[in-house]
Amino acid sequence: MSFVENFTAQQSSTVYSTCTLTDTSTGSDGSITQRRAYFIQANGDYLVTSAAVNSTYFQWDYADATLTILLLLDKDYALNVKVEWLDVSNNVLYSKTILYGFNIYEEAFLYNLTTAQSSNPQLVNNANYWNSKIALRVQVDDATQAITQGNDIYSAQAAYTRGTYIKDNPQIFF
Amino acid sequence: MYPTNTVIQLAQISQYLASNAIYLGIEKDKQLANKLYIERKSVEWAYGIDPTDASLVKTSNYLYTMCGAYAFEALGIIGSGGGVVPSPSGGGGTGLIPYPITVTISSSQAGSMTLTNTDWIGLQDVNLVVINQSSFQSGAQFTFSPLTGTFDFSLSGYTLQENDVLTSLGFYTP
Repeated sequence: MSFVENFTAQQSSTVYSTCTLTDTSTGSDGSITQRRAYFIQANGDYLVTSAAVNSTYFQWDYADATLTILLLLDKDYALNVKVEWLDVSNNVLYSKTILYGFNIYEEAFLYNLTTAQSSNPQLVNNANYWNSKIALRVQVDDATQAITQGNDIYSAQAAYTRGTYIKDNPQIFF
Repeated sequence: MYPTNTVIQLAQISQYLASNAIYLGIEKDKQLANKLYIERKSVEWAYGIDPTDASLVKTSNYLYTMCGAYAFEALGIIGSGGGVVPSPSGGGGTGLIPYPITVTISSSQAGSMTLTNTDWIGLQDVNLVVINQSSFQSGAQFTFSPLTGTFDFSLSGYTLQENDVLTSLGFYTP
């Protein structure tokens, strides 16, 4: 059966900075000996940690079905995640890139607001509370739409950046 | 109370009903549909992460209360009651049946900090009241007496005004 490359990426819902890749490829190719994973930002820069090779990619042992990267996501990102399947001579045999939106920081902030409201409903009486919360939800939804419908990393990252500003400056907005 | 997934469904329908009411000029809170959307999305997000998250009890209860009378109508649409005191949709866990309260303050009721209705005698867990767009928390801004079916807003000093729309949610034992 011929090899069909594929993978998924998921942000941890408990440790938001952790990202896990899972190889969901089907078939087989005896030439494959290794994988590399790249996280490419909207501006073209690679998102890396100290575990990255040459500040560019993460080595992913072919024997491991998953690759967990700690301390990668310090905020919400739209990232082109690229995985390469290589042979022993470092020739790229297969490659796949998927645009992902990693948005748990902003989603969790929104839910934390809801939790706070349910304990202290008077919160919503603060000036601009609802407008600010709606604005943040719009950023998250905009990013999702840019990714799922437009495959547009630039618009998605711009929306996450606007949302992050709201999240990081609650004293201004809430 | 209703399970979280049912509350999410009720909120989806309530959002539509509220939007329609805003269009028709019936709903005073012109942002209600937006508010229901963003709160429902957050509860939905948390439910998707972990349906057993303990915070969902409070946040979904809060969401249900925000739906006000629209939840009552939504119950009828999804076939779990409506028009009359709703019956439980199953799986609620507590055995309590929600009882939505919606009152438009009449001229004879205006000017008082209390509101009594014998239909409310025996209601439990009346934790939140929304009057127009302002929320009141039980124990901090109001008290509710299940013995007499009376809301008392003396804690907040709020005096009911004619045409105020008061919504709340209580529960009764079948």
